[in-house]
Amino acid sequence: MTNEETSHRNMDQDDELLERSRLGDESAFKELILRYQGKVAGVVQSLLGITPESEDVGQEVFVSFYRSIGKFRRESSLGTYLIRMALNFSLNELKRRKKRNLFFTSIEASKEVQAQETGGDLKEQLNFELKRLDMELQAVVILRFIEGYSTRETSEILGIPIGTVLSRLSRAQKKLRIAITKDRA
Amino acid sequence: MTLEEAEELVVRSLDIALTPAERENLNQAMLKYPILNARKDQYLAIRETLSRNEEASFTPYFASRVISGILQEANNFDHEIEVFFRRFRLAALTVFIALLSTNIFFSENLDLANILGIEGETTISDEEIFTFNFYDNINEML
Repeated sequence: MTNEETSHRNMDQDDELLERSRLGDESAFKELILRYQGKVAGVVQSLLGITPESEDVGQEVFVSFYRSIGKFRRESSLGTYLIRMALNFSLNELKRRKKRNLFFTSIEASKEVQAQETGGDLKEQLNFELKRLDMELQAVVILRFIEGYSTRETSEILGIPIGTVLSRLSRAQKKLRIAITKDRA
Repeated sequence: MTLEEAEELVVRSLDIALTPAERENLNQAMLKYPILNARKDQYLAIRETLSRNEEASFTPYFASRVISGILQEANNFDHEIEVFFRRFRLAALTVFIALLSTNIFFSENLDLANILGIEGETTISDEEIFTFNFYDNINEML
C-alpha cells in the first residue's frame, strides 16, 4: 500500500470516528485521542517541556476539540487542526508563564538551566537556546526540525506562506548556530 | 555574492531545492568562502540534534483521563443548569402557594375544585330561564 493510499485510508477512518464522536460515541473519540496524542504531545512538550502543565495543555486541546467538534469543517486534515490547536494552547501557556514571571519554575526548565550552566551536551544547549527564541521562530523550528514536518506542512499548520516559514527557519537557525558557537568557544 | 548572502543560500538549500542558477552561485560561493562548509555542517548538526528520536507521549491512560474530564464537564454543566433554575423553581412554588391561599381566602365554599379555580359544568335551572311571551304581554297592555 502506498503512502497516499494509507493517508486516504486514515482520513476515511478519521471521518468515521469524527462522525461517531459527534453523535456522542465516547469510544470513537477515545480512538481519535489515541491516534493523535503522540503528535499533540510532541508539540506541547517541545514548547513546555515534559511537565504537568504540558499534560494539562494536552487535555485542554482534546477537551476543546470535543466541545467544538461540530465546527470542524475539514478544511485541513484532523492532524493539522489538532497540532495547530496544540501550538496555540502551548504558546498561550508560555505567555501566561511569562506574565506570571515563572518561566523557569518547572523542574524540566530548571534542569535545562543547570545543564546550560555546567556546559551540558549539545542537545540540552540547543533546547535551552530554542526556548530563548521568539515564539514564532520556536514554532517553525519545533514543527520542522523536532517533529519533522515538511516545509509545506509547517506552513499549513501555522497558516503562513512557505516563504515566511523559510525566512523564519533561516533566522532561527542562524541564531541557534551563533548561540552555541559562542557558548562553546 | 557576500558571505551573508551565500550563508542564506546554504540554509535555504537544506529545506528546498534551489534553482540551477542558485545552485551554481552556491557552488561558487562555497569555493570562495571555505567557512561555509563548516557552517553547513553546523546547521546539519543542529537539525540532527534537535530531531526527535522517539515518538512523544503523555503519561499512561491519558485518553481515559480526557474522556473522564469531558464526562465530568458534562455533569458539571447539568448541575449548573439545575442550580440556575433552582431560584425560578422556588419562585414558582411561592407564587403557586400565594394564589392557592388567595383562592382559599376568597372562596365561598371550600371544595377542591373551587379552591383550585377549576370551573365546573354550569347548568341553568328551569326557573332561571326567562321566557317572554310577546302576545300575552300585548294583551295585558291593551
